[in-house]
Amino acid sequence: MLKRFLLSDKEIVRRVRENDRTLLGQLYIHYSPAIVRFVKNHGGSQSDAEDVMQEAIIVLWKRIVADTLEPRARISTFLFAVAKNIWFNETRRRKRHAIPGTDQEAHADSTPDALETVLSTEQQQQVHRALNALQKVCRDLLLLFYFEKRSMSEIAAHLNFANSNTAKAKKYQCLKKLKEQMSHAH
Amino acid sequence: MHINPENIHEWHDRYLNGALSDEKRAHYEDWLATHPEARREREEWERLFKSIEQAGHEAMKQEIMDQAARLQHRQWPMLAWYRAAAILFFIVILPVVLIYSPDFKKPGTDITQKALETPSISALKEELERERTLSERSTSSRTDTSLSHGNNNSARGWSLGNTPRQTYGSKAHEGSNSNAEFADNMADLLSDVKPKAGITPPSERNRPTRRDETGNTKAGASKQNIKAPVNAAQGMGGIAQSGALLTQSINNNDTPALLSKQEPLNGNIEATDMTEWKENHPPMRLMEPAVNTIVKLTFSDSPYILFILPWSSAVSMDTLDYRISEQKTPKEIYLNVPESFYYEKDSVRLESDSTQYIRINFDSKRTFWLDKNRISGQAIKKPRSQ
Repeated sequence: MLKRFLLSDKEIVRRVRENDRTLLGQLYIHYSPAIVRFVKNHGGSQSDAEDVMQEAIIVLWKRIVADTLEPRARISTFLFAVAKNIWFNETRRRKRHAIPGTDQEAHADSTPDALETVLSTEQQQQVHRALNALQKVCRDLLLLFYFEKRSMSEIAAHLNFANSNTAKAKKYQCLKKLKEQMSHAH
Repeated sequence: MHINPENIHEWHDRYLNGALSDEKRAHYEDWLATHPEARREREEWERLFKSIEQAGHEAMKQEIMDQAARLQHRQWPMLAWYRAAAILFFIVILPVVLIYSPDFKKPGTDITQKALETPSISALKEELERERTLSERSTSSRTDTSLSHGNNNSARGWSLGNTPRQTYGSKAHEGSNSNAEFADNMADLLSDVKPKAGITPPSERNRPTRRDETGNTKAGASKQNIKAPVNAAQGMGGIAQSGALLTQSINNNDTPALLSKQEPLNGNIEATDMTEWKENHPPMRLMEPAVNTIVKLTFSDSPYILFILPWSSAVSMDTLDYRISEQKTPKEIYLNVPESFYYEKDSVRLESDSTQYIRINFDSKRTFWLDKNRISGQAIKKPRSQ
């Protein structure tokens, strides 16, 4: 009963907007069986299904935060549709990689060269390390702003800043610190 | 806001987050065209933001898995069984054990508990057991089924089955021939009643008896130790035409502890008794008491009390009153229900209506309810004299 209430669509939307992170695991537990079954029935493994489920939850989360979720859509339906699309894209991508020669030229044009990929990966790891080295407030602020695309007023409310201007100033400081961390690591 | 090298990072930030209007974006693009180092800087910022976004993505995936793992641990299947077992234990088993535990004190049953704990009651229990074995042995050789009258000092009382009773006198049966006749009838009837296993009344053979001023024999301690709140003799003496004044009481000299613990009934015995009967008595055969009958009421699980009541007896009345209030579960009650008595408006009435309960009124204040479905009635038989 309680579970049904906590995972009702309205409640999910409310909790996401309030940045209730405990919802993530609940969504996963509650909706994963159907999606895992779907992925497994369409040639995926358990880990594929887990990945798809995670990606679908992230998409849902971002949609709710950005307020672009169709209000009439049921969350279970939305999650399943997103998971289905993600899995079909993934299977297409795998097929493309599995058959050499097909679209090779186009593929070569569109993909970045190896050096660029390595550099990009390295920079990502660097940023990851630098983020982890930051204070929690800074890390949360940057992730809320750049990943979840929340507004400054929302961030100020969640992180208990006085107002959005304070949050903005703090974000600037945090970015500076992040850059410093990255240059130190470099 | 004009673009300059001091605030260019803020323009980059806005541009990359799509927060610039068309006009400002055009202005920004123009400015970047003339400042190639600023363009490179923007590309750096762009990579940084993408990296942050990617890191956030990974962090969220990790968070989802961590929380799911935590929740799955909480939803461990055996945990549900443990929870169910705990609920079952605390909500069902523990209360049942507590309620039916002999050590458990229900509110309002202190007197009973104390009474049960007294050594005299223990002795009485033993005596009952003894009596039961004795009666079983002597069933075949029983010859004494006569009724001796109360005025007879050497009277052994009613013989019910194989357990002779002590007799007590009252105004109603002093020198009455009809009383003696009725007593014979009673004796015949009661001799037909087979004593149930475990509920055979105790003998009073060895109990000392006393005579009162009228020469009637009374229970030795009942008048002295029980401070009877009602002068039931006045109310009862004239009513009963039976003259059978028999009481098997345990209110004798060997139970002073019990007798001294009588407390006045305060009118709520009705509700208490109903609840208690409902809770504690297993269903038994339906008994429908009728007028002009002798009704034996047998209570299944009472430990040791037997009453044989002609309702005319003041002593018996007090005793019953006392015992019911004290023990709540008299073992057997023999009710003589003559028609005249039944309709008399007096302090004691036995009524049986269409409801589930038989009501016995002791007086206007005290009522004892017997659940028909929980009483076995036997010997519904008209006395010959009536």
